[in-house]
Amino acid sequence: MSTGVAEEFFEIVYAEDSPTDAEVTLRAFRKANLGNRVVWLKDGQQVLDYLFGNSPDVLKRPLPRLLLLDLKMPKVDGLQVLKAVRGTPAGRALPVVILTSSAEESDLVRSYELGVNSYIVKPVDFQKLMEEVARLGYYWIAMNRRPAEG
Amino acid sequence: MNTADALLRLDSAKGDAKWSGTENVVSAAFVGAMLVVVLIGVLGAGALRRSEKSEKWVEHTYLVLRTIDEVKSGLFEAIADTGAFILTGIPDSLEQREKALSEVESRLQNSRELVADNPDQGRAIGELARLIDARVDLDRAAIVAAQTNGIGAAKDLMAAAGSEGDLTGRIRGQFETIRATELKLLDTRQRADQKPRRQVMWLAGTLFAAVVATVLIGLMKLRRELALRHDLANSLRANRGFLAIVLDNLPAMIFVKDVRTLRYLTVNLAAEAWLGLPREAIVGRTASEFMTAENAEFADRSDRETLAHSDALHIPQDQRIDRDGAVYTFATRKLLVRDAAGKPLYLVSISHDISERVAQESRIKILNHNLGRQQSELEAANRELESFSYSVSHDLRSPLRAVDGFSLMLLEDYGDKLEPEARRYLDTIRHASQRMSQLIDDLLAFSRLGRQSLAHALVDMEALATSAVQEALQGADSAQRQVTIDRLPAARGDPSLLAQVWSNLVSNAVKYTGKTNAPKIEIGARTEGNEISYYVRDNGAGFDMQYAHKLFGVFQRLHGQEEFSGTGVGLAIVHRVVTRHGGRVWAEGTPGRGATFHFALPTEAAA
Repeated sequence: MSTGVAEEFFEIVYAEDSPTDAEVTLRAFRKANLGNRVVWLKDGQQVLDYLFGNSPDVLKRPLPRLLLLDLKMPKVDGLQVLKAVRGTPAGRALPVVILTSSAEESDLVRSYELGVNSYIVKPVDFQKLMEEVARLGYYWIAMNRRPAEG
Repeated sequence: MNTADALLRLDSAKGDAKWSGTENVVSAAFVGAMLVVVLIGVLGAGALRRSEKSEKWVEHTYLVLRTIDEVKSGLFEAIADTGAFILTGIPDSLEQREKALSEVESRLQNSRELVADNPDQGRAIGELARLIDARVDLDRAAIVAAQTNGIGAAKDLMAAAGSEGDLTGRIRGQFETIRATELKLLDTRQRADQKPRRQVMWLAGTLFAAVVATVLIGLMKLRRELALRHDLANSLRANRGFLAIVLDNLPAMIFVKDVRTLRYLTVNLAAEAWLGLPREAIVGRTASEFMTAENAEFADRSDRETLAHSDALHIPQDQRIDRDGAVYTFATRKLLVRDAAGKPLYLVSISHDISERVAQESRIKILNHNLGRQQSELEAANRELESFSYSVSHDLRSPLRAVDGFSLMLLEDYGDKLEPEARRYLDTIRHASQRMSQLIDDLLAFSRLGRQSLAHALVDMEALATSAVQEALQGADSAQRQVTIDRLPAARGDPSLLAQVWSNLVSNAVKYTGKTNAPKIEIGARTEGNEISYYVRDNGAGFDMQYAHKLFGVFQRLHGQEEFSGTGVGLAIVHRVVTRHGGRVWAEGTPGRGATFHFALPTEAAA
């Protein structure tokens, strides 16, 4: 596990501005034995910097296996990150999952319009959240197949 | 002149135009008749002249005849005197004879002059003179014979002449010839005069007949036209009455002015009333003579405009102040009325009082403005509410999750080091945070109901009730629960919101019959008047009717959390959905015996 902008490669990129939520989520990843594959970034700008580096239009290679975004974040929010990623050719194959407290219909509609792969409302119940995160990591890391990177 | 008179005059002008055809015919007939009379006069004068001439001829003829007769009588007198001398020898007789002969001579000369224009008659008189001379010579010889040889010699001479009787007879014959010739001449002359006179008489007769016929036809026509004119006048009088009634009963003010003088010809009652003046004080005067300066100025200006630019001027709004200082708004129309030849006659002004309408419009404008402001305020409030509930859903949940999460982490990581009582506290913390999360969700759902727009579809209520029952019985011990659903009429409304109503009512019924032996749920409907009412009845815990008014309030609960779980939002949602559909909700219950929840929706016709 790592925090802050890192040059290292991680399979799961996790964006979350609330430290307590992040701690709970990261604990869930650890319990699912995925802890060392996750990088935690605290806002959308850090995510963009991590994914794009210095070139604004081209994603760095290799691509992560999963991008996990909170919606409401300082500077650049989750939907803006999603839009930027889907705006590049390679980004269309990057699995993006929204993990948020908002169950608002408008957020759901907007996310799917921008091409999200999955939208998950964070349960308040901690145990349920742990189960969700474990299932999520397992599905996208172990089960999901995507095109080979060219 | 009253209101209608001016218009009556317009009508009769039009009537005259229609009339002129007939009048032309009639006047032509009269002019023709006059010409004929003059012609007859001229011809008559000619005839008179001719007749005078003819009388002169008669006179002349009789003069000739008389002269001839005088010649004749003179001659025979001389002859008689000759005889007397011869028989008596008295010298006086000779004197008498000489007198008579000179008379004969002068009369003959007269007659010659009289017939100078007629050579035949002149010759006849010449012959007569010769015969007379012969007879005179014979008489003279007889006288001489008598004087010298006595009476016998004279008789012998006469007898010797032999022809004496014959000569006298020839003289008589010649007299008759001249007379007859003269009479014949008169006849011829008179006949020559009479021929043109008859022609004139005949022509005059014909013309006179024509005049009589023309005049008769003209008179008949005139009579008919007069009858027509009479009818027209009658109907115009009726129209005038009609117009007067209509004009005086119109709410609009009507003014009629003479185009040349701009003096009022007439006004109607509404105008009198507004001006506060009787008609007599208006008619014959100009606007400036009795109106306020502003009103008169307005009238003059609009009159000039109408006369200068158009036949009809429309002034949508003008404000005038009456004598009491009250402000009125009028809509005015000014119209130019022309005669048949297109010459402007009257200026008609029609003014409607639109003060009330204008005032209403301005009130509506203000109301609309306020409404618009309220609407934008409402929209702003709604937006604020939206962002508020967004924060609620997002930001309030996060700390709750931390409370729950960290309590659990504490339990997991340090649970073995805690007293049982401390672990129970942590459980309570977790339970409370989860319940608060549920409250937030329900509250958000409830607030969303107020903002969400309503669909308007035909909804199969029976299908909704059935699926609500199926959903509610999932996981419950449905084995001994008896549920009956009657036939439910369809309703008009929002399908997903009505599904929520059914779901909440049915799940309530299931929940509150959870502790009842032989639980029973009945679902049915009734149509009454303009509404359909649906109900869900159960034989569960029921409630005390004195708290019935609290049932549908948000977070209002009649049972303890330990007895029956819940947030107290379900019935509030039912109430709000039904109210937004224009319906109503109510409930009946008895503690321990069960409850019945009703909701009524307006039928399609009423909705």
